[in-house]
Amino acid sequence: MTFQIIQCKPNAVLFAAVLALGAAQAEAGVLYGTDYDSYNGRSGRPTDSLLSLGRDGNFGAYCQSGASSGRRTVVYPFDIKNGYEIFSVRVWGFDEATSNDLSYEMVQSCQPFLSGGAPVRTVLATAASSGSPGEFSEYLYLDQHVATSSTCAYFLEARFAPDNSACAGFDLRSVRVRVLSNNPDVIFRNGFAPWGS
Amino acid sequence: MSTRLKAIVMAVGCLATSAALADRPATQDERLAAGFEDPSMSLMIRDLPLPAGPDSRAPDGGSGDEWLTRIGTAFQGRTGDFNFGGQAPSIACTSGSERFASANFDLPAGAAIKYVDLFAYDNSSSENMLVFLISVCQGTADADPPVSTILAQSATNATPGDTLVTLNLSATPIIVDRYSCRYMVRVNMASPGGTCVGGSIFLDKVRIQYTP
Repeated sequence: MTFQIIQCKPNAVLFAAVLALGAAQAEAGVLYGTDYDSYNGRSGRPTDSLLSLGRDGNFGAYCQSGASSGRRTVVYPFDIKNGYEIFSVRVWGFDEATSNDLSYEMVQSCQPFLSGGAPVRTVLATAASSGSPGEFSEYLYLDQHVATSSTCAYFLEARFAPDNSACAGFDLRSVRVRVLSNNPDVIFRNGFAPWGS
Repeated sequence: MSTRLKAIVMAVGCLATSAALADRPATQDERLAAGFEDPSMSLMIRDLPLPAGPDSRAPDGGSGDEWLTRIGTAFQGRTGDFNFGGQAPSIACTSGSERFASANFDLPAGAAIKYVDLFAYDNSSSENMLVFLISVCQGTADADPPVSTILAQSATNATPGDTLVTLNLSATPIIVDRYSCRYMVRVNMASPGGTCVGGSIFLDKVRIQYTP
């Protein structure tokens, strides 16, 4: 049946080919001003100097702290230009811990533009590993959230354990983070995107 | 005014401006305040005129300006002795005397740095937070030692609580030279006493406004 339709409507074949090519290009990051930024797990910044971090062979981070005082989170700050749309964050990790899971919060932190003010944190999306699956990957969907980088900062916060609690060590690792954003002002929806977009 | 006199006046004006923008070696007090104790490190000071008038910037960028922000958590201690903590994006210097932290700002080549904004909390009656915009430049092919230059600096004052400190470079923007230089912001979280005050002083973020 499908073969007949394609034979009868050559335009449909062309349309399907264009769609397929477009999908491939979107994966490569050249359509629609798309930006991909990837971060090694170990590039995360600890939120507390009491947090003891280790690095696995894939540049992933794991928490070595036992039950002692201090936060158990690392932060991945993102440089997202003003007006860009944040599509999603994908995380990769390793969880063979029966006691702990690795949870993530994508945070927007805003302050007044030209005056002092306490940071206002808004959690835009969350995800977490579950059980002890070994390698895992989770997706945080941000629904084309428009960045206001003049007043806000954006970062992903990964938690290895409740604050002041024991971490799971090498059994729980944050390996990679990738943020996908989009420049909505790109005119040429191909490789002729403006420099720096 | 004769043409010759105008030329002389302009020349004198140019010389005066050049003199004002010339870098000079930092004094010992300035070195200590910025965390450059090592006398073998070259540290210069640029005494840029910083306008103190009202700030009328708009958050939409207006003239095409962009922003690059480093949250407090992204600042790295000068040494491993820097004790810090806090809920992201903010950090406090929790204890000890190592009070310096820095963050790199990777700006596009040729960008013009116009403003550096420090967002902080200061409720300490004894200490303030100092903020420095620093370039570290080095010969492009030689093995010359790097030269650090404090391009602008300021500080929190008294006990304002949540506060904003601005380095207004809009009259004489810093043009980014990625080929030879790196750019960073350093904070001193306990000045002048030198001992960290925990949750009495927080670094929330530093934002640079620039023209690409």
